[in-house]
Amino acid sequence: MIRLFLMMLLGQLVTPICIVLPKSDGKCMFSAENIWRYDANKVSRYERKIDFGINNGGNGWRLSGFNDLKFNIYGTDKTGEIARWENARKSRIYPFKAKIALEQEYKGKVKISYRGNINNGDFSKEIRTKELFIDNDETIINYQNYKCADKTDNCFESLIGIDSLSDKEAVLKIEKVK
Amino acid sequence: MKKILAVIFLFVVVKILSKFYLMYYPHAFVWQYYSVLKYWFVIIILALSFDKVRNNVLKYYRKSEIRFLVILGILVVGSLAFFSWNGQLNLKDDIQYYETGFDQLTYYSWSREILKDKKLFVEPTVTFSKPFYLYFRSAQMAVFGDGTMWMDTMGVWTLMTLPVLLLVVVWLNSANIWLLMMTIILSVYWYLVMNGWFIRFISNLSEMPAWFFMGLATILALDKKTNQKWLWFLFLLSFLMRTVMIVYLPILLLIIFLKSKIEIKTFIVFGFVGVGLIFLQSKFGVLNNIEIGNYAAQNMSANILARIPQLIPSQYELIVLLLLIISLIKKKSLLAIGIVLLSFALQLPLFNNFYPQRNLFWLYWMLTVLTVSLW
Repeated sequence: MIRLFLMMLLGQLVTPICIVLPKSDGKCMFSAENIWRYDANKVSRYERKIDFGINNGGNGWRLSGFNDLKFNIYGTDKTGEIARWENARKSRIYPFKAKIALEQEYKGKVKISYRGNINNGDFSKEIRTKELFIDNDETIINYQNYKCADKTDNCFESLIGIDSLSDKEAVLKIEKVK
Repeated sequence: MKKILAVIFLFVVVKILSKFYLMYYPHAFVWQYYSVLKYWFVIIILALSFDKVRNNVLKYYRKSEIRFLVILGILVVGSLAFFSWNGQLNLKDDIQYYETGFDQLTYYSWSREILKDKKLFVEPTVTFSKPFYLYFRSAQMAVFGDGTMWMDTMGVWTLMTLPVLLLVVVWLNSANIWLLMMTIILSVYWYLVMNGWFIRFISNLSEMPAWFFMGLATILALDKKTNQKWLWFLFLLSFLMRTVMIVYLPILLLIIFLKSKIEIKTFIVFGFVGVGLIFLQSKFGVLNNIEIGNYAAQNMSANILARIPQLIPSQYELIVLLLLIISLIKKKSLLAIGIVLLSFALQLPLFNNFYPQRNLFWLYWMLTVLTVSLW
């Protein structure tokens, strides 16, 4: 509440978003955009507008965490994990999860457009829309840009049997409905 | 006529050296793109080698600083808008994914770690080879966020608009018709050979800021009125980006020597300091280990170095020899050209084999010095 008040005072009505990448023990990705407000357990950065997916006319996801030495995987071995990560990188496949905490300013009805997976629902490669009523203090929306063939979440780390959208194809847009 | 012949001579030299270089490094893929930098340097050298050009720019600046800055601002914003509209510049704050196994990814990652874990040091080798570079990158990230917008914008802008800026500078001196024509042609050529991928590639390496500050120091050194404190400050910034820039200090000193009235005694002292550094470098490999920031390059250099007799002088030795000769005979001599070219030819297998870009930057620096001595 205090945080929200301060944000309003500073003219910033923003939404906290936590992006989780593979090889990070489920911690939120560090973002240089909010150095002092980064919280490994809760927030990667704050967004003024939830509108991701470049092909959809929105902003990019800005997954800077993939520029990490953890993903500097390459070598002569063309089978196994090395090959999987190299191929994923070449085809710009970056599996990630995003948790968006909709707070009070969103109270009411919201329209969610997405390509991927929302709140463990069906994975879709076409753009879908969903309407949601926000009446609690905080509502978490979970987004994933991939699905695992075996219906578990194991493919997130291993990339075995993964079906993932590229960062540009991964769409998520949340708008207020008046 | 003499000047035109000198320019043609420089172009021929560049061409011959390019071929020579490719014989050594046929797989140096970045080479082809460096033709872009070649023209950048040539244009700067040409434009600034004319007293009239320099004086006009300074005169224009002194006449109305505000107007000068407004025009500069319009040029900057205009160029950004043009290249952005043209699709060559990405002004969106999206993230760029670096290739695995490339230095860009490593440096980006380390700079990010400094911010993330509030670390002071991340890696010892880079602390020696580029003490300030990672902090410089971290500062960019802190100000401009995750996106590489700033780096792209500044790096790409610097490379892309300098010909345009110089074109305007030369335009103010339209008496030099041949120079104007050449600048127009080179600016057009420059634009045509521009490659977005390449520009992004080099704008994210330490070469760019290091040479930017060194370039600024050299340009200011060409002006007799510049306070030498600024030159030292800019050189220090360049050195902090890449410690290897210390080997280019004698060249900067040579320019200062040629363009100002630095005392001959001081100059010889610098010469001997240089000799000391060279001795350390070539006999004990001190600089060699510091300057090469990755193991692949280090191994490669070691292999090549092993095949070359120690008796062959390194580029440093030749540069200092050149400085001493000039300081002793106290005049600009054509002998200098021979020595400089010879040193370039010999330094290829001896120094920094892995970075063709640095050899090129070095070559054009040498050409700057030569141009200054010729005119």
